[in-house]
Amino acid sequence: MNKYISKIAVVTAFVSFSFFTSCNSDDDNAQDTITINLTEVGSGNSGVVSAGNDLHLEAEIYASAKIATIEVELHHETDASTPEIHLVYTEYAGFLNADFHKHIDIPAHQPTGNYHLHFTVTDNQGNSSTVEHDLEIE
Amino acid sequence: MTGCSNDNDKDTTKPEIDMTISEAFPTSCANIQKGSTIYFKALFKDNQALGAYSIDIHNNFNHHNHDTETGNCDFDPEKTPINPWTEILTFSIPANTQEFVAVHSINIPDDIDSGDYHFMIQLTDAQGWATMKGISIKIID
Repeated sequence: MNKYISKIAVVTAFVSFSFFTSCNSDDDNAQDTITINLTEVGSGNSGVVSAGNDLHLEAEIYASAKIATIEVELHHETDASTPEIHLVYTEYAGFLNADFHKHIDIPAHQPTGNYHLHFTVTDNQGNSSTVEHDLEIE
Repeated sequence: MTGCSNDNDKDTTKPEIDMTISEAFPTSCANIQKGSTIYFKALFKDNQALGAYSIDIHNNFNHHNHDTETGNCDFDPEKTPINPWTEILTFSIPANTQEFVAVHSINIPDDIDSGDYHFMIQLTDAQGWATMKGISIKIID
């Protein structure tokens, strides 16, 4: 009988322990959210920038697990041999939200044409989210 | 059982940048002379604790609009930068501070392009919430 009681006690204790410790954990990746709202791509949100000039880029960002890095990548839409522009910003690390505002220099020798802009936010849990936008370099 | 959750006291309030205190500067549309000094002054507030702040000064020669202030400044004609001024300064705020008056003297080089500039203030609280304020200024000869 004592054996049964101790077994029940152990099981009860285990179940109780599980119950008491099963509350929400912030480590659960499924609950982390990243939102990106690109508010300006090119001056006046024109989607156009001249080679040799700077690209105005502005975005509102929220990352519930806090921002780690923000990456901006520009690649030619059709010609893979065109040099890509790839920038990584770490200055927003630890922020929950950010008003991203940058002027990205487009080299004067950058071939003109239609490009894709990829804007990626990675959070402290390793989750990332990307938004895309068309950009013409003229 | 309730000790594991701290959702109830989670901070959801962004810090505040208050440019209405006495001698707050720069004011929107301020004209400041090349080679002189910007006497930056702002009041920062947070409901719990402030974190850090940065100042980012860059040209606005082609009139992009990131001025969070109301009202339009009188802009110079658009132009291409030759030797524009760029300055990024970062500062920390003592721990557990809810109100902080930031004061800095920022020297303006005298060999930079004059014209329209943006003076961006970015403030974070200890939790990681950020607030940005953009002020249009003009650097004059």
